Amino acid sequence: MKRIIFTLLYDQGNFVLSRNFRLQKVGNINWLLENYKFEDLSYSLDEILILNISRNNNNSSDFLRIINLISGLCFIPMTAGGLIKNFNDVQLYFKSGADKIFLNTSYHENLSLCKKVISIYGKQSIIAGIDFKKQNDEYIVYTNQGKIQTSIKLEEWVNTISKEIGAGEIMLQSIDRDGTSNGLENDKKILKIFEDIDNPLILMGGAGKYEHFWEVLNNKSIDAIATANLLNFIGDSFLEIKKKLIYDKLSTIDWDKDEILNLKNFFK
Amino acid sequence: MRIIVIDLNIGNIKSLLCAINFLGLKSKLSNERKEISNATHLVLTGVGSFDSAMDAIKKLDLKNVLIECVIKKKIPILGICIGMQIFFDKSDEGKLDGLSFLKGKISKLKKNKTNDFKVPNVGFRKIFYNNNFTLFKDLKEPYFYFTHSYAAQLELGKSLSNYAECKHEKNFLAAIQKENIFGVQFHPEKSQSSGLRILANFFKNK
Repeated sequence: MKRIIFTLLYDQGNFVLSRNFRLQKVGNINWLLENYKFEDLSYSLDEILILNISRNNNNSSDFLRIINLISGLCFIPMTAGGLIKNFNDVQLYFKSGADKIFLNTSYHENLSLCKKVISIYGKQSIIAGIDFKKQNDEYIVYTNQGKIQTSIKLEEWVNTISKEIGAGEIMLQSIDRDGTSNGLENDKKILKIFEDIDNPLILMGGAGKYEHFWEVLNNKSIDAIATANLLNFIGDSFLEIKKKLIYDKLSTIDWDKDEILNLKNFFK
Repeated sequence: MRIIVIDLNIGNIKSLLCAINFLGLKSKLSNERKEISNATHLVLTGVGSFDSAMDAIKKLDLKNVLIECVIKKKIPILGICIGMQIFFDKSDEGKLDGLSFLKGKISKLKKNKTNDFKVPNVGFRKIFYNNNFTLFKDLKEPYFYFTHSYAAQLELGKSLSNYAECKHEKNFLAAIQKENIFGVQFHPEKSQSSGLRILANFFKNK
């Protein structure tokens, strides 16, 4: 089954939109729940990813409170990540309600942490994130919230994570496409990398219209699309995308939002 | 109703408690023998290995009270993921014995690259069941969230009242029922409306 992973970007108390990794505040948790009606939207989603991309690098207890709150409202798998510096951070994210954790910079700077998480929680508990930019004809890997350019090619890094270190799923995020709604980076070159990789592949960066979802999820190599484009998917737009994907014969689940509402307080 | 979610202290059961609460039911997390004994419904769940679950049962001295509640008193019990697996005799995954409420051994899943069957089996999967299985009554979308590397093979379903099947390299038991004993390999608390429907159907049992 193909999935759409809804991503919430958290920066120092607020949820934000990101464009080429530059952030714009949208609203806090109250806005998310009351105005954006996130709980209702969640009944149509497949999965949630919540990332702490706080630019002050401070991993606050407020983020844990947010993980706790949101995981209590939704009935789907939730992944939490961002600013994970040690095993204690990992444990706190799990204890707060995360089912999986997202690791990116740790794969570059803290290998022993990645290995410890794998040995204690299992490979499937990790989504490994890779941020990249196109440079001439190559895809180059970036770290630290897109601030540091490495000399590593995307293809190399995917293989290192998949075959040497280990991970559950691998998520590729295009810094160039991020927040542009111009479509995802699903070049043949990227698809080719995944022909030899066992891990499920998630693409992120640029999803804005139905056509983007259809085109990308129609590829055998791609398992999911992640999107943080909050304002593009207000109200029923998400549901409509899902329904249309099924109508166009893509294997995805059409969650019945009304069914959840029917079951709310079923026994009261 | 007195719903007791048995606290083995392994893994995060918060989502499950939220799901039960969403349905409008009160539940209590407990590993006290008296409370378990007085329950109208029991739920056994966890995230972890077969041995870590059985080890927890041993440390909390719960085996006898579970035998009394499940086998003698026939209190409805729902085993989720590892909770379902420990109902059986043994597992390929561990060295310890299970509760032996059900016959058979849990086996390791195998990869099959040509058919895209991976191990661990993670994600939403379709399941197949017959209409007699009350746990799936009124179910709209037969898709549930799985995350596991071990499972009960199909042949173990022969001695059971009802079962549901999931495709893999070798199809396995996605859910089972034997009288008051219910088990699901998937996570109902992570399976949207479908999972909530299964939980509602379980708690409708008297």
